[in-house]
Amino acid sequence: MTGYIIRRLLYGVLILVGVNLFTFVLFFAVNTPDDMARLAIGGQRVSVDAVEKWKIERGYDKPLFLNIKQEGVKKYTETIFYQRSVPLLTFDFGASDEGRDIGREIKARMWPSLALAVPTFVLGLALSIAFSLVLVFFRTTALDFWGVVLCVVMLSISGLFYIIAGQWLFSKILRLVPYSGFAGGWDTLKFLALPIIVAVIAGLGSEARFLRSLFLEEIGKDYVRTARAKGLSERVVLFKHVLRNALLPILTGAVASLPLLFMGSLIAESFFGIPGLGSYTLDALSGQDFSIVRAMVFLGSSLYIVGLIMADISYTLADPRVRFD
Amino acid sequence: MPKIIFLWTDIALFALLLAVLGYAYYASRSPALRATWGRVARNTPAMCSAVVLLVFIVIGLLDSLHYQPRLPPVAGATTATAPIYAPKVMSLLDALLEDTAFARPEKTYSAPLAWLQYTKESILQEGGEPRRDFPRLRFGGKHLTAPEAQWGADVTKRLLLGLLVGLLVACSVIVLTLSLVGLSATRQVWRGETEVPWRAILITTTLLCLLFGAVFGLASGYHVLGTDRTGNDVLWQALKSIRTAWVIGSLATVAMLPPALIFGISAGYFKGWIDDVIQYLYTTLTSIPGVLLIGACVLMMQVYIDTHPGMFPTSAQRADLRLFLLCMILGLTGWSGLCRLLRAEALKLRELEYVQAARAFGISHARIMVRHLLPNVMHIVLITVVLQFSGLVLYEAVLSYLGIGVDPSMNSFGSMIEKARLEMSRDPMIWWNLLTAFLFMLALVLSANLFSDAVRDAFDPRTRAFRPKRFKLGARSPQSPSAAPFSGGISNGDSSSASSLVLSVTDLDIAIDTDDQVRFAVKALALTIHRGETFALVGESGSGKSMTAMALMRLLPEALRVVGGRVDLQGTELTRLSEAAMRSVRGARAGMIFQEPGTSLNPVMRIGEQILEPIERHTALRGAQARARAVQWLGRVGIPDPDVRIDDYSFQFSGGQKQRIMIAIALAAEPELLIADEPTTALDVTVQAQVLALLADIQKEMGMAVLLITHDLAVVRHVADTVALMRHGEIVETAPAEQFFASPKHPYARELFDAIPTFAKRGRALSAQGQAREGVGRTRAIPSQATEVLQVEQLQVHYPIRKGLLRRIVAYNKVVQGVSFTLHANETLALVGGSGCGKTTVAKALLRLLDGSASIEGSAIVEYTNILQASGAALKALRGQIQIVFQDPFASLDPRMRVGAILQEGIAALRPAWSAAEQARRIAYLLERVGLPESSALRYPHEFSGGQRQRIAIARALAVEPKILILDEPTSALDVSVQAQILDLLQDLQRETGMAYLFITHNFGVVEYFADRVAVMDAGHIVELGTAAQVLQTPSHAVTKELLAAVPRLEFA
Repeated sequence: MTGYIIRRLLYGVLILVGVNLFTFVLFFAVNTPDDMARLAIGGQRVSVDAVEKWKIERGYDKPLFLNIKQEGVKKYTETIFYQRSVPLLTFDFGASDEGRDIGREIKARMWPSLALAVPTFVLGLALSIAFSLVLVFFRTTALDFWGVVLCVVMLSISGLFYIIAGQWLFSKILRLVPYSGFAGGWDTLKFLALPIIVAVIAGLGSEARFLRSLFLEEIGKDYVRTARAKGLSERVVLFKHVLRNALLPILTGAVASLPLLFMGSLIAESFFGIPGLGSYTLDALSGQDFSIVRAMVFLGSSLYIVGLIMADISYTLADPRVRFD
Repeated sequence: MPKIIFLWTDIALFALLLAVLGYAYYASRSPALRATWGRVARNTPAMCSAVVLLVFIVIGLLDSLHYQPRLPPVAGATTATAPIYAPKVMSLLDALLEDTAFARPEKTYSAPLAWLQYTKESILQEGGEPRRDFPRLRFGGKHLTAPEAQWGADVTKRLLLGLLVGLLVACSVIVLTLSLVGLSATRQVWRGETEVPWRAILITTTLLCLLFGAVFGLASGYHVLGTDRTGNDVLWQALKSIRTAWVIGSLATVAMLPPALIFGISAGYFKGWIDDVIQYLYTTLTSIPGVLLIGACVLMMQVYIDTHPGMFPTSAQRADLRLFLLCMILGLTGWSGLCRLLRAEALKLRELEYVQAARAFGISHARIMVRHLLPNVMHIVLITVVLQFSGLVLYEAVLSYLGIGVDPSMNSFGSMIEKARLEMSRDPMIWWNLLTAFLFMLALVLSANLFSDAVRDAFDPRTRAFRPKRFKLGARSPQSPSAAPFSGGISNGDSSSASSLVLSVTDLDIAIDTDDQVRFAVKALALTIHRGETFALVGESGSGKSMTAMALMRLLPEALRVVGGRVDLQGTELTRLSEAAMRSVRGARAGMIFQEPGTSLNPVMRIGEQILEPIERHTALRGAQARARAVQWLGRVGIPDPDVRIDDYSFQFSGGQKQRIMIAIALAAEPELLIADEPTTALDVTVQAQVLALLADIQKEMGMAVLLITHDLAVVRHVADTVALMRHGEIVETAPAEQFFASPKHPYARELFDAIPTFAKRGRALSAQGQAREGVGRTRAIPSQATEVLQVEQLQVHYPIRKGLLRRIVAYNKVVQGVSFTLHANETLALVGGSGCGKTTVAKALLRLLDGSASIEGSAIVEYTNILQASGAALKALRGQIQIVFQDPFASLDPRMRVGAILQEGIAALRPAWSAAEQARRIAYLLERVGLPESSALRYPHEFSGGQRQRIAIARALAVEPKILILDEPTSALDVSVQAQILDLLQDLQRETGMAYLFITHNFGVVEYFADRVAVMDAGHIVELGTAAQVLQTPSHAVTKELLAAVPRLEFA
């Protein structure tokens, strides 16, 4: 078990190295730092001096992988790759192209992101499971049929419309909650209520439909027939037998996506003006700040890997077949 | 002549259209694909969606034919000067709608159907004085002289006129469609009784025609959905956005296919380090949050486009390239999901017999992947492609909103929403922009989703299996039974009295709803079972015996239903009970055990809990008492240490123990009737004997009635009191067991007895056809001891066990340890043993099917060459000498290849010198030889029964005239009567060709009948080897004795 986890961790590190190399090549080999400088300063007719100055300020004036002008170890350390990529592996994100410390920004913006993402995730999962269980319980009836129709219609609507409609209805017409913004203390609740409700409803259609098919597949299995042959009621069969089996993959899937909640939601945070990591990323994308984008890519990958390992462990704990192996 | 412009995405879209048409042609020629798409065509929502999608496709394609119109020549220019083209790129759609409201921009916002601008402006009055007011629109309602008075009437007039035209178009479409379907079918179409839901399709078409008519009628004078901030018609923008949505949805999916297919199939097929590398690749890709990855790529692309402005002559071309690259990025970042699915499927497929057979012919890896794997994963690809489309359309909106989507100058739903979002906060609100985007997206995505759901249901066998079915018996009543129903079961005479009667079934009819018809699965079935009696319901597969058992418990699958008859369990009429009352019968008065003990127990529940359920449901015992009862039952069925093992999970028990636990569960509430549905079929012969003994023992103790359902007459002989033989859903004979086996009355029963292979029947044909052939002086050839065709010396097969941090090989799982034997021409050597003894591994090793996954030592000499060491041309030559027939007739033929192609593949691989005509002649000969009509070559495997498929598999192996044929359980998946035919065929073939058979089996009956010599295997060793008579009649090794003792036998007078 310990050996297994250590091996998974090493594999994770290997993947992070791959991600690091990939983003480095993507950012520095497809386009030269000169191109980035011109874009950042603006316009085509930027003087060569200005470009050089921009590069020196940010340390982009060095060669990519190998500095032939230097001696010894410096051949490798005095390069963009060593200075900009290797520190990422120790989670030292450095400064953004604007010159601000990315690590500190992440720490500050993490909490609003979590405040939105965690309740959304928990409520969304609970509601989807409940809804799909109702559909499964009443399968082959009209309720199930129209429930599935509702799911398909709901998942055919772009998430953006849910947000716009929510803001229009609750903020503009009913004036129950503010349009957007964020504040500490009890006010948080006021600001977060709408984004959470909207996100839960927006995800309900596809989630519930997926879970329903998962439950239905489980219901077709042999052990369910055994349970029925014992004379158990449909309710007991569903909750005691089917749910317990079907929840295993659902829960491990949920565990896998837990760490990614840190990353926040790009769309919801920008619409509702929540100063989390999602809107931070979005600003970096639209402001073309490559340092932040790289840092966020790296953070996201690490969290994904943590999620994978956590899912592995939780699967081992939850499933007796693996636990006793 | 305008200058035609080919944009990147135009070319891609039309190439895609061609590919789709090509697929449609291909699908229309393949019966399997035609049948599957036929299921989609019968799905009403899917077909209505298809109509809507078709309209969207036409609009998208019209918008994909681009050109630059030629400008009128400058005055005074000579004809010699080069023509000048407009700088703006137009599409055919633009041209068609050039003079309508769509292409007539206003100054700024205007509401739907308005004649006034939405915002106030300073207007110079006639007197020259400025006044702030809503100005008249440039186009909308321009024709109105007194708008306030005329507007309502004008709008109504244009609307009605449009509707009328729409109706006319709809009528002509309906007439056209009906004439195509056949005018005689009009009545069925009207009532909605046609297979393809024509009525729904026509209604959808009519509605769409009316909608289009209304829109165009109104558009003749107004902006139907208003204009946006820059005065552009909103409906126009939505129409233009459709193309963008199509491009994103389809091209991005297509871009994903090559990496997903190549990587997914190779990873699953090759396994090992190739798999590791590919898995690493896609885990790395998926670990990067999707939006960020796309954002980063788009950012890079943008920098590139910005720094190379010279490459794009027009803005449309620049925007188009950006769109094209966006699709590529979406594809290249999104392939990992499909790749993972394909890898998993390829992992499964590579183990299937038809892939193994192809490898046994020495066919190259690339060819196997293209011919066998690719066609068999295409359904997954198709499902993913159609499911992905709607997701991508929605994703485009998000990306465009985030600023990493399409070029801002390009019309798309995303950019429409982005603009509309700012208008939400205006007061009064501009709502029409958003509403239009919403309606168009919903229509497109919803129809795409409904269509893809139908495609998935049709192509995914898994979803088909659990799709709830509605049983419409009223519409289609089952076909009446062809023969008069067999009347009544016999009362089994002797000591039966009414009081001891447990179960009586009369006139039971079960109907099955297949896709195209409703027919009887069981007809007029009658039986009675008394206390302490074991009633065996015997029949071959498809005879309806299991359905009968399920019907008694009222646990029939959704597609089946009891449509008549009575089931009386000690005075309770079960078919009329309410579901709640029935639950008190199940488990309490009638228990049931099933064929697969492995899957019939809940894997994540302790077995104690599972035994407690019926106890607490049906008895008064609770808590410790109930648990004590459960422990007691566990001990009773022979589980050692029941008080400890009660807290274990099912996977911690062996197969036989699981079936014992199932028995404990079924009997825990002490029912009067136990229904055992093939209780020992999945078990080894020694375990089978133990479980049967246990059942008999408990029955003696409790005196319950047992309904035993089985296909195995030998099992019945020893445990049943009464036997009922079923065929095609009817009981053909019911008799006390003694009488049944002594003098069966029905010819079918005699046929079955004849088909059972035994020692006594050696040299005689088993099947009626074989006996007919036998007339021609058939004698068993004496194996010539002189010619050895195969010498196996010290064959060892070891699978590495990897453990620890570095996955180092710490030990070997020694599956085969030093097996030696020789095989002579014209001889059958049987290799027998229980499951897991290593007998199949021997076969695979000899065919070199284990290369790369196990380490193999020893030698196997064929024609003076060690086949285990041979490679290249030498190995290929040897493959012509040694061939194999596999167990599963359904997995051993590639379902996507015609029988002719299956046979041809092997011939072409090992006899490349043969001409096409020679190959065709050989195929015809082979089919004739194994007793199949010549026309079989053009048919697909699914059109054949299990026995016929096994004949095809034999023909495939014979294609290259091998000297050695390995038969790996060739008959164990077949019914006994079919087995008889196959055994007869094999015997004929051996007599004719002098082939040597290595016959691998666990079935002792077949061994006794068929083998010249017998080798008994146990735990990787051959424990006993000798002539059939020696081994079977005077066994020397304990394992052999144990195996022989457990075999249920039928002795005949």
